[in-house]
Amino acid sequence: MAIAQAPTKETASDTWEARFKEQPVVIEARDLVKVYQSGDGVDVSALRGVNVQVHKGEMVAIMGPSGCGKTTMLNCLSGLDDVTSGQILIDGTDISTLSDNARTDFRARNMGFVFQFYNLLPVLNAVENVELPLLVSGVKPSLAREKSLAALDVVGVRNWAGHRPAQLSGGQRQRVTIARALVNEPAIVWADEPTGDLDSKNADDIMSLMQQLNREKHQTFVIVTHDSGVGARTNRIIHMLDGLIVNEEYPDAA
Amino acid sequence: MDNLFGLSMTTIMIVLASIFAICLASVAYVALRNRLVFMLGLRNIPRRRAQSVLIVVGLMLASLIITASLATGDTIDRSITAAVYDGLGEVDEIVAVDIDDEAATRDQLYFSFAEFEELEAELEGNPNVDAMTPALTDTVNVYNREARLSEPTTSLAGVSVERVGAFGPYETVSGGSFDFSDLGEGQALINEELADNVDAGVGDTITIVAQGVEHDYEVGAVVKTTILGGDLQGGGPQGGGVSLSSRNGVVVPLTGAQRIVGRPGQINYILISNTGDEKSGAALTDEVITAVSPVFESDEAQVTNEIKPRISPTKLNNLEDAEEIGNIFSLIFVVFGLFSIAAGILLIFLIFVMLAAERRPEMGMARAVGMKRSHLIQQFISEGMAYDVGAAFVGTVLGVGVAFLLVTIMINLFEVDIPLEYSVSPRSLIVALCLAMSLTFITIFISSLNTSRLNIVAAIADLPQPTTRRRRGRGEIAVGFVLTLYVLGLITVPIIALTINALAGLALLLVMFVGALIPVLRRTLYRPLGLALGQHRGHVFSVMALVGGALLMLLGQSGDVLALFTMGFSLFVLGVVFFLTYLTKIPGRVLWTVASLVLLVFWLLPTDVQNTLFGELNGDFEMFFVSGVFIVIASTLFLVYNADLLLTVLTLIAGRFSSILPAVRMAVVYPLASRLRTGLTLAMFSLIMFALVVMAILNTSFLEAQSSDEAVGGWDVLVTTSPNTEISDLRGAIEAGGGSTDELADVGRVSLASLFGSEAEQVSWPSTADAEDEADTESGVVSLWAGDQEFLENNRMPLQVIAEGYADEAAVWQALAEDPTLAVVDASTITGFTNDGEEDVTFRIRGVDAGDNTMEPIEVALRNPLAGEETRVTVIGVLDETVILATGVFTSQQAVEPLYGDGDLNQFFVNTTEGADDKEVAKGIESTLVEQGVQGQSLQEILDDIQAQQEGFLYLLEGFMSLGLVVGVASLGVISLRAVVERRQQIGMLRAVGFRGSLVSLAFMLESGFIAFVGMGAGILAAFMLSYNLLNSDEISGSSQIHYVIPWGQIMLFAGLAFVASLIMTWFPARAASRVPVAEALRYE
Repeated sequence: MAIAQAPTKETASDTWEARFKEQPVVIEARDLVKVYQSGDGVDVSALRGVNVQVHKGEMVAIMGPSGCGKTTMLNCLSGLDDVTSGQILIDGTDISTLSDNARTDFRARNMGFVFQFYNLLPVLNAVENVELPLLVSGVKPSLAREKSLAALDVVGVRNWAGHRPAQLSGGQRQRVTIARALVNEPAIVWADEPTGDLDSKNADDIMSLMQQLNREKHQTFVIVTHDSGVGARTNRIIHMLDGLIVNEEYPDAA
Repeated sequence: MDNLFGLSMTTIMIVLASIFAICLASVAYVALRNRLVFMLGLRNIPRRRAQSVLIVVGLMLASLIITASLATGDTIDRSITAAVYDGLGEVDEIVAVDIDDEAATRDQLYFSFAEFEELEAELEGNPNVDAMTPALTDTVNVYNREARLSEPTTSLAGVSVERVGAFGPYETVSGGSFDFSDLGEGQALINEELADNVDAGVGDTITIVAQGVEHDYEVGAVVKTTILGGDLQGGGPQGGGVSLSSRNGVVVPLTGAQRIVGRPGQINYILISNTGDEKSGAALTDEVITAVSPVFESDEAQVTNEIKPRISPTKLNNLEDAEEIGNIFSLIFVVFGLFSIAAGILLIFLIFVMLAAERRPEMGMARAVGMKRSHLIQQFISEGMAYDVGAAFVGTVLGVGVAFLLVTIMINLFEVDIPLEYSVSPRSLIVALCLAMSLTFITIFISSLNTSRLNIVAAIADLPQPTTRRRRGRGEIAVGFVLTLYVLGLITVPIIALTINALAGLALLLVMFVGALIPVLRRTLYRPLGLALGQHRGHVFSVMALVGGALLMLLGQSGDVLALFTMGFSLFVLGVVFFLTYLTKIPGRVLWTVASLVLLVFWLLPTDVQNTLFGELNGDFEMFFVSGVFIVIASTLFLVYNADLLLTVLTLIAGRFSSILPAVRMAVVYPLASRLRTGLTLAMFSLIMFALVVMAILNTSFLEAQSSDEAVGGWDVLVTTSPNTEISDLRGAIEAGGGSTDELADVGRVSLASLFGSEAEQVSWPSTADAEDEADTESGVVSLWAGDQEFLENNRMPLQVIAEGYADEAAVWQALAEDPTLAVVDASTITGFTNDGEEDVTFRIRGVDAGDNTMEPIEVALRNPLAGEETRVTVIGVLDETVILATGVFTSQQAVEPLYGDGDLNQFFVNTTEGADDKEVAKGIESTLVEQGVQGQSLQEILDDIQAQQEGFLYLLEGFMSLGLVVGVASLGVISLRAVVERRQQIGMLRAVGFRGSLVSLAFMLESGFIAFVGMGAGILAAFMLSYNLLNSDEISGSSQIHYVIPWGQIMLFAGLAFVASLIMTWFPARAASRVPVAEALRYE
């Protein structure tokens, strides 16, 4: 078992305090440990006792060097990956104890995902990709289509609804991914390097879009990124190193 | 077996071995010149063991099917050969009067014992002959009074006590031997067949009835069924050779036999044994024939009725027949196996396309560090050859096993009494191995041509191959096209070999092979010839298809070969589309949809419309395969280009079950996204289901017609009397025997005028007959049947052609009852039924075709060749071909009586009273008249037996063909395994957005189910249409009784098994997909 270390913590800014202090905690990790077993049987600790809380409506960036455990933390917090030990409470529900099916249903209802390489299904067009989470949740096809087109409208690619991913630019694909993440109006949106595969102009547009949605819909965003520019546009940056949170930063304070 | 498709197996072996040697040499070249590339290929094999096993299974099917077909022929050949040796023993030649030569009467078949003595004197001291005996044989009734069992058609043989010993002792059924000279006074030998049928053993008394006189004999020994053991009639020129169904036989000394049949001093056979044992003796046949023939050809020969006996090379003839039967069976299985072989080729192609897809990044990397495209091809063929050789050997071993199983089932099915000798000749094995390995190798080569063409950057990143708008989809089309040409070539070779010229077929095979090698020889061939094909490759394919198509059409028209014409037309259509694809901007979907519809309409056109449009061309059973391939190509093209419509429908349906809608959508969109691989798999399922369903429909429709009440004219019981027992009044005979006739409603008597056939000749021609018909007309042998009034009035046998002026079948039969000069004939007299195709001695009516419904009455002269008398009858109908129990000319007793008197054999057709049990009635008649050698059988029982045999064989063929379904199922396994790897990241994403593991798994299962369902559905639908056309065409049947019957049970069984097997095959990859760790999958690249 890895030994948990207390992170050095910057004092929260007044703005942050004012906006989020009173908001309920929607994500909470307690003593989160994740150990992988490598191919030759050696244990590799990806998370070594992480404790973190994220409030409703917050936009949080997780940053750190490659291999520090950023993506692993996002995967564990979102229920995409199992944890070795520790607790994860999402809106009060301990998802680490849920069965695979229950966790999947929980994700479908409460979470949206944005990935660096978009992870759109190449065989579906934009609107079909977006409506997938709705259909999985049992929404009627006609309503799902309506909501998906609206979501595409929100992210500005409604005109490309009938196009397959291969026919879209990187920025357009990422907008479709965001539409897919938001279409079922999740409480939390997880984004793993959402601008990592985009040029600076598109990256800026995508961040502006996410900020706008975060503000307008009060959804919680957790973004894993290498890009300090992205981090600077969030409410809080969690810095990680070797599987631990080593620092927190409040760009609003800067 | 000695030949296949008319080509000598040795020639085939040499050609195929040469082709395979070239394949091997090309791999050897790689191994020697590019060891690294060679090793790269080989080291891929153990990387994914499960996949490698699946590949070997897929690849081995071609060798399995080919080996099974050839080994079946070999085993049948060997088994029948063994039966010939067992049956004929030391006897190599037989001297007898040949009935085929002279239309002999019974009396003319016998000759004096002095003839034998003369021959014996002539051959004395001849070093080539070590034994000979005179023999007299006839058909008698034998019964066992104690057991009350009789055999009315037992072969009585009388042989010379002094001479038969030179042929060696008799073998008894208990394994011992019996010397004929040990036979005591009043004793006879019986063969095991008769012993079983009349339940008699050594020491029992049997009664031989001939000429109305009974002769009691004690059974001295029960011997094996051989020519000297009584099975004589089957062995000589008067019979067809050693009979495959055992015959009842009883053997007595020659003088005894002469007394029984009332022919003192006469014989009808001389059996000769050449020097050497039963196998080596046949080699001296020519010498012995040369020595014997002059004896009977001389003018001084004292022969009865001036018809001279002649010597026949009986053993050699029988051995040739054995080989011929083996060849026929091989051909049947090869042709029906072609569907599976074609499906196997598609599977091999698919496997290597998938392998290449899996290895794109590493192939891209290899190209980046300096490997050329040719190196990738070399790498693939090295790996492919390793799989190929391994799979071919496994397939060959399994193929031999399948063949042995097939023959065992067949022999049991037909209750054929021949020793089963499993055999496969080295030549067959070499042919099977070389053919399978060459086919596989060339297929791998073609697929590697396609897969080695890649964009290095895209391949390294495993991104889709970049395509320009102009080129989009054409790569796949080109590959599909080459594959089509290849399969087409494979079909054309045997057809050309069979219909035009064997050497032309071989030449085409070589051209095909060299054609396939052209890309390899690019450097040495293209450049010196200035053929820089490059981007004009498409045009070259188009021109090849257009020219090739036109040539095949011309060849078909001039050679009168339907298969070549129809293939040419199809190829031409494909060529046009291919040309337009390159020259115009018409969307591929439009072009291929139109082309597929044109082809579907063309191939599914009713035969008469096709004949009107393109002229009447000759097609045989090869059309089954050819039409299958093209209908499947067309339907698959239509499906893959229009399947999105299917998606819309399915989505609408699945919308009602929202919980599975996402899985349904995934299951449909993925197959639609990869046309080539989906198309190939669809085609595999379609092809096999098409073949199975067409066969099942045709078989069921024919069998149902044959087993219907109409097929036996509404009669219930058939009573056959012995030629030696004259019963002309069945009711009277039964009552005299103390039996009851209460349950007999109608009893119709039909007499066979002569056991040896009568002579008939057409003397008037309908207006439809041409001069050629008249010129071809000659007299022929026919079975002449005379029906009594009760038979003609009650008979309801269906007719397929009715003469003008008669309203229906009943009117025809009624007319026959009223007018003794009228007759009907059976369908074989008008449908080109021939005697071995060599010497057509059977009676034929010209000017009436199988497809006609009406005819003008035709006058026929009937003659008794012995008496020389003639009478004329008018044929006013043709029996339906489903009436399998009656052949020949049927007329009234009044017409036949002046020629033959009462006739040789009486048969009675009985209608039982309402509620009577036909089987019991038949049994009762037989029991009452056992001493007169009467046999009674329920007609339904006879039909059921015939149907069971035919059904059994057809099921066996269907089972053999369904091996091809294994190909389809294996391909789904390959696709699913690959899909799990390929879509790992997408599975991760689906799981992230809320797909439960079970939903992912369901999507995979539905996807396989969708492909299998659509593929099988398309095949079944096409089969429904084609078989409907066939059953309504006159080409396949002129019967009015054959109705279109869909055997739903059989179809559901085939489809159900294949579907379930597909799902099981997919279940493992689907389960793996559902268990993919989400976070890990999302990271997967």
